[in-house]
Amino acid sequence: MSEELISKREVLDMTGISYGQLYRWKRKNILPESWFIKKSSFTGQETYFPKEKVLERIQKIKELKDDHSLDELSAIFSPDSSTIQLSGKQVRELNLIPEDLWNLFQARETFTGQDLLHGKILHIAKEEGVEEEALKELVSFLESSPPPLDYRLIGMSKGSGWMWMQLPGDSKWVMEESVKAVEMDIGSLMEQVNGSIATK
Amino acid sequence: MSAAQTKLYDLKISGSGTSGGGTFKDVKISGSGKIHGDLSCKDFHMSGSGKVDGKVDAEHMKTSGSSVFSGDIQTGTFTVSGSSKCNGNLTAQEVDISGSVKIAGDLFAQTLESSGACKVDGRIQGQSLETSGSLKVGKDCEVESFTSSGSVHIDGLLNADKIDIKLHHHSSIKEIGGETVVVKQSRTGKFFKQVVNFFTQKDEFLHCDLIEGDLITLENTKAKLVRGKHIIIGENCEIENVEYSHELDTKENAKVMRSTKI
Repeated sequence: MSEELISKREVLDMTGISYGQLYRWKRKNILPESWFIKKSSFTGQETYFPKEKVLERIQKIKELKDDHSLDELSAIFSPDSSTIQLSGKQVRELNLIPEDLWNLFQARETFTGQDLLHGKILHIAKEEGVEEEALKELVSFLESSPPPLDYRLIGMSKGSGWMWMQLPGDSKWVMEESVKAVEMDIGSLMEQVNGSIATK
Repeated sequence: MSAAQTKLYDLKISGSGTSGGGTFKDVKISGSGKIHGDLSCKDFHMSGSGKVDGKVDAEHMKTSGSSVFSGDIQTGTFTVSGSSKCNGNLTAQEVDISGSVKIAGDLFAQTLESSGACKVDGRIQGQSLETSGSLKVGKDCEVESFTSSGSVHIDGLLNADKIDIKLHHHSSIKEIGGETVVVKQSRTGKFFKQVVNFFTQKDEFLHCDLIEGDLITLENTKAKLVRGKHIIIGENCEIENVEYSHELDTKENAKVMRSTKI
């Protein structure tokens, strides 16, 4: 899982943003602290970023920043899922949880950001071919220990059953080749959830 | 603040006394008082020496004399004249310091005004910060506008839109990043200060590893790397590397070892 890194200067050159903007977005947590990677260079220390993530994020910010305030962007990109409260009706309208997964969520009046995140995870898992029974197990796993935003969720299957584990974002893992594996980045899934709420 | 249905009472300690924590309307300590447990109140007044062993949640806090808080503080306004120590985090709308404040955790404040000594071991986050005394920050300091005239020591990153530093004493900031960065030497009492500095062996420079911004104007700054769009390196600067994308103006008696247009 070694990502390609890009220096701060390259980021500024490629995107045309200013130092002021970069630091402002850092302050507002629109660019997460963990993306600022320090490495020593001949001038002391140089800051690098995960290339794909940062370029994609800046592109998104540019698209959104004319219609949204910095604080709104901050709410989209540095999700505080505890503040999200949606009714079942809203969730249906926004189609945040696919119809065929509703039965996996015990009847509830309001949905929190965490619920919607779980819905998103289940949706992906289902597309990966995880069966109904295993999806139920996954729901109870997620609800008993909600995954932190800086973690990844790994699913493994050999035969019919599935195993799930949560790993810190920067950890490496190696899997035997015959195992079917699914990997999800919790932070970016949460962003997608927030984004789909904020932009509707 | 809990919406208690019951009538709230005041807590007053004058002379020497101890009390348990709890929920009160106003708390007044004059003399020497100690409160054991968490405290939640509207107005908190302390003059003399006081100690709260627990968290404080208040709307207004005013301390003069010496106070020690062992837990986190959450308040609307926090006014200190005298010395105050908080061993947790301080979260406030407004912080006003004329005296000395030590915070072992983080400081979150919309506005921070200090004309005394403010030492934060953790990070500072807020909107506007004005200091005319001494400021020490152990980690990052992130605000929208930063104005200082005095001595500043930040061991992390100073990140603000507008940074305005008037140098009065030896200062050090590990990294500075923002839009507009202005560092000027003070023009007051130069001769007297030179004498003092000569005897104390202190120079009156700002020491930095890295300064990045769109508009940078520096005086009396020693930095390893300065990077930006428009850069003016003024008198008494010693900069090892400058990288600029638009223009660089190096004044007389400024030293720039290497500059690159990028």
